[in-house]
Amino acid sequence: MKFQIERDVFQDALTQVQHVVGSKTTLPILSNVLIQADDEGLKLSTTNLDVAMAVRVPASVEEHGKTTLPARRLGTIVRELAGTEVQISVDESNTASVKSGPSFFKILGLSETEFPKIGEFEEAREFTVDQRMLKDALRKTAYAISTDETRYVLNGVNFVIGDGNLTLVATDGRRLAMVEQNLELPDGNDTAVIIPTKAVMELQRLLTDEGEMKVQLTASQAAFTLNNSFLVTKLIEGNYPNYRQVIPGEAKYRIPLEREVLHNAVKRVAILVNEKTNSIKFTFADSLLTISTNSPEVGEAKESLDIKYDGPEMSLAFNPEFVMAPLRNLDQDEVYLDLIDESSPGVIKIDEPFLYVIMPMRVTS
Amino acid sequence: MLPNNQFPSDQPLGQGQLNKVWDLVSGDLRAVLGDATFDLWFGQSGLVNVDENHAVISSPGSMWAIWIEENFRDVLKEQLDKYLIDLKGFSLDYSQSKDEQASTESAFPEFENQDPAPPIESSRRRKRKVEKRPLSEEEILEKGKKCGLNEAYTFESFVVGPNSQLAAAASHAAVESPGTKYQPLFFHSQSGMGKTHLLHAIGWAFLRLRPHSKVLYVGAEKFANEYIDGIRNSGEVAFRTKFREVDLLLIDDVQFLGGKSGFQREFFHTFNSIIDQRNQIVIASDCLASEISHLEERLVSRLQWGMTVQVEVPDGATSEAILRKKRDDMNLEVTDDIITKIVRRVCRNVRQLEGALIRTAMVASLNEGVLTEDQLDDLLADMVGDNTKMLGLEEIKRTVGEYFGVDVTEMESKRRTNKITEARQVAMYLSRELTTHSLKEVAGSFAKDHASVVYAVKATKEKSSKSESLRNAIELLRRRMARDGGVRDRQNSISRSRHSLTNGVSDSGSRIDLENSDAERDF
Repeated sequence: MKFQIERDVFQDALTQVQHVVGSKTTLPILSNVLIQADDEGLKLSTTNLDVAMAVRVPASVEEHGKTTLPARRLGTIVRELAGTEVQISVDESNTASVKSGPSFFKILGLSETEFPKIGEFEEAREFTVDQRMLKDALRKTAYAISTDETRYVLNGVNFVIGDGNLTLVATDGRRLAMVEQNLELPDGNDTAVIIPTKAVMELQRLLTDEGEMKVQLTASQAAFTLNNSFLVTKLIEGNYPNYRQVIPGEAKYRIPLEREVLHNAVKRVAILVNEKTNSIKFTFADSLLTISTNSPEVGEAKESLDIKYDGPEMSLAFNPEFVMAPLRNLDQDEVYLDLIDESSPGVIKIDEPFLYVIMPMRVTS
Repeated sequence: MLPNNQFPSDQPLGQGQLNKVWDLVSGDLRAVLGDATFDLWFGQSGLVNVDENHAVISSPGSMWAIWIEENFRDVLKEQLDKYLIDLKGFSLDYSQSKDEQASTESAFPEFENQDPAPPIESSRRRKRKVEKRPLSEEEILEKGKKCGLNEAYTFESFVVGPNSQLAAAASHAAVESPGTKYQPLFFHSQSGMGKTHLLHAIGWAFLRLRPHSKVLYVGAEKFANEYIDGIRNSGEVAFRTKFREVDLLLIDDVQFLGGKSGFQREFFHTFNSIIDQRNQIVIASDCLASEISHLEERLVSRLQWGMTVQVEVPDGATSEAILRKKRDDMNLEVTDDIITKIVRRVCRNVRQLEGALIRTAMVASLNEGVLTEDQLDDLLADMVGDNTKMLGLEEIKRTVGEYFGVDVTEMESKRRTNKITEARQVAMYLSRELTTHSLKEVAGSFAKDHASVVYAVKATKEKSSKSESLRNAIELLRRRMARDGGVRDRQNSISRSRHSLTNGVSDSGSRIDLENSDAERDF
């Protein structure tokens, strides 16, 4: 195998596939990147057995072939090279000679036959989605994914397809984020799958604001083809719990708030939050919202905001990070906080199909 | 006698008692949380079961259950503890809930202009009912072999002695009420004590009782290999179906998973899946779960969850009974007298005993059934041999290094980071404790002078008297080495060990006592 490639192009592609190479792997082959050279250029693939990623890049290929090379080592070498072009030739024992300007490296690879095969997607159901739409939907939900591994069905985003909609849900048991987008698919495509966190993160990296993405789903895997990249992931097995159970009924009070102003106020009050309770108090009184924290060990912080509210005085305590996360990931200038009473979950909404349920914390007086 | 508003949690409570406890708990919860919060989250709940130090509370739905656990775990446990003695934990059960259908109905009616579609059919898997045709003996044998069971290993061929009484009783209980009493059932012992035999025996008895159930016996290494094959050939679904959808999973040599995090994760999910479905899992390991090196904390805690039983070293009488049984099964021409002699010579490792029996039987048949003491000594010389094996300094360094995550070369180097120094000192201390090497020899092997060793021994003693964690670490290392270091003079140490505790003279002596106390605690 022999090819020549622009250093920057090669480096970008290697960086992209390196994200799925685990630092501690049980099988040495998983630290390697599979390089396939043919008439169309290069195809670089990596996998950690849960997620696999492949990317195509243009290169002038002199001799076709396949090999695997240590991904991180190769990435570091290419990053440090001074030349603008890189020439690589690989012999039958999978030893690669890397030449660029004045530099020369020899690195030892492993046979491509050891590299795990990525599953077939022949019988998969297939559809396309708008990249920008999905990118936006993931950004609005992914932060609520649970990191508690004992609840593995919550370690991902639930994709529900049906009735002309794509609904994305993520929750960790204390808050829940949900987005709904129009997605017209032919009949018989209704389904629900859980895409694991790692794949969600990689998808967010790959998605751009333009173009479409092809999605293929089988019973156990999902594949995404977009731009020049290909991402395959195992799905989380099991049923996602019925998220509707924790979405509160009709709100009694809807309080419009300026997103940026609210975010900054919470951020400032959170500076003095007590690490033990990790909660700040929201007091809604006549046209005034007071956000405050007060602990004997740390001190006191208070922010006041003018709001439209004429209900009775109410106090709710929230984890400040849980309030800030959606505010950070929304673009709209105005958000609504829906409340029922002091003990029911609050809901943050916008003028689009999005909702964020947040559980008030118990205030022990 | 318990006060009349407290109930034991280690035995099933009647419906009246359950209602009474829930009345008390919900009254207190209401006071703590306030009416509104209580009605919202617990208004539809009740106490449905208490047994085995575990309470089950009903919940109107799966997501509901998760939110209750996340947000009210501590306060709920606190209230339950007031009325249920020795409660270890609780779980929420939503299997009775009607609200579990996945629905594609929009949660945003205000953005919806068409009629909501009816909910799609529930995707929850229901257990298929299999027709109950009794299987013939041949069919059961055939099926058992397919499950990986060895027909020689049954309860009938297992000799129960005082050493294995508890293990056998737990095995029978697991067969009779799987998935409830001992979940998981965890056997540990040194090799050759009959763990594998018990696993197979449980498998056979389970199959005979429930001929249509799915049973699977597998070694942890095979589990790992099949996992890799599954990934290579994209057969993960087949792999998961095979391992997760069984009624009884028997996993042998689970210590193999130590340090292999990928397999541990898969095993963790397999384990959870089986427990979730209330199927039985039985595990054998050659050490305690907490002693398996580099085993993730969450797996350790899961393995310790249920019943841990040690299969102990058989005493002389049991060993003889085992050999007589073996002799009769195999039709060997060996007298009881010779069996007594074998047992007196060979240490109590059942596998070795059986090897010795077969060897003796062969020679005895050539000598018309008569063997002198000398002939026996010659014959079994190599089996007695490893009783005197001495622990080496290198082995101590390696074991200590593994534990502290320090290379042996680092330990021998001049580097003095905290971690390396601690490992080095502990290794020196143990070298002095467990071997007869002189100060000079020990110092030489660490490239230090003898004063360093004296200091290390003193420092370690001092530190361990203050730090419980260091004390535990040293005890653990001692036991590990006792295990790896071979069975040293076991017969003597057994009789002696009943009296001495950790005076450190003979590591195998102190080890046995420790294990006994473990077994008693587990019991």
